[in-house]
Amino acid sequence: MSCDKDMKRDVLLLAAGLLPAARAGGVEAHLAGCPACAALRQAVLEERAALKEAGAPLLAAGRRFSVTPELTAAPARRFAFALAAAAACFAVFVLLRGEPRPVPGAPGGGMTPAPSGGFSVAEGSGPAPSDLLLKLSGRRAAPVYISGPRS
Amino acid sequence: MQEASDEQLIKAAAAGETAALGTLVERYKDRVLTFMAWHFSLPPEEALDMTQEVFLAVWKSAGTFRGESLFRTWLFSVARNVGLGYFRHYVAKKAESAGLLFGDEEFENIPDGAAGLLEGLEAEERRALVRGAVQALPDKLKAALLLREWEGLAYEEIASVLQVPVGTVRSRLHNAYARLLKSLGEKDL
Ligand SMILES: [Zn+2]
Repeated sequence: MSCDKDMKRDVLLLAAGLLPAARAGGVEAHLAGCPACAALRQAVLEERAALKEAGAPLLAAGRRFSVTPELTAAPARRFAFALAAAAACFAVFVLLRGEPRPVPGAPGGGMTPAPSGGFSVAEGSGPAPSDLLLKLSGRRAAPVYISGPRS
Repeated sequence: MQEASDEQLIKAAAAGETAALGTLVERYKDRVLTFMAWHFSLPPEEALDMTQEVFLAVWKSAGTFRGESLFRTWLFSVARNVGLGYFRHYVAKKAESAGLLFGDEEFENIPDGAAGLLEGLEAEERRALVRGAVQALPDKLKAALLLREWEGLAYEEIASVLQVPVGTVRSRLHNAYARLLKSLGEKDL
């Protein structure tokens, strides 16, 4: 036999570290006397360990990202976007190497302020993608080439 | 020499060090790409464009990272904001509302637990099985699972990243674990 849906839900949440602390005591007490729920908890723990072991099935880009100083770049690339830090004395852009293709829409910089108060993102700041590069003077950084996984 | 932490790198990036940004891109590009593809249900090509936008936004707003949260939490919040800003003009929050389609506040039934389901398998076989089961989950569940299991965020942090109530995070993760238990239990050995 097995316990009701609500108890099984709480057992799973407990094993996954998702159960509010106020409810944990009751579930622990139940687990002590219920082999079925104890087995469920064990199964969830094993499942989580297996997830960690397997690693995330990450998508691989199959293209290359590169971050280079603007001076090494062609001026009007479809995949070039200006990157400007407030205090930075040089510009960088992220360039996607690959055949050009249409863009589905423009991002417009419409980021909403982040909620938690821990950080925020400036509303509407920064260039539109069509502005490509922000000209900033100053020192040049060495190019950094970042290769994605080859597909 | 010890490897620089994410938090050290983002501060260096804010001060204009491109190499620091490059290191962060290298560390996180596949994870952000995967998050964008899953959370917004995007094909990989579009997710890749969005990922570039995310790192552009990270660069532009690096100075606003105040170290009150983990860099990871901040990064995925920026990613989610970028995706949303993009979709606001594009498909009007379709991706965000898609969560409702599979009963975001519902807790799915859990199969009777059987411990030791994955015992006796070779490690490689077990990994392939688990990855396959994860791939088969709905995108929104995978995105929550990514933040929880592989990025190691607490569920309150996930709620803050995704801007959903903690109950929604609980139900998404609950449903992900329940579905995985079911599909692992049904595996043919
Ligand atoms: Zn029970």
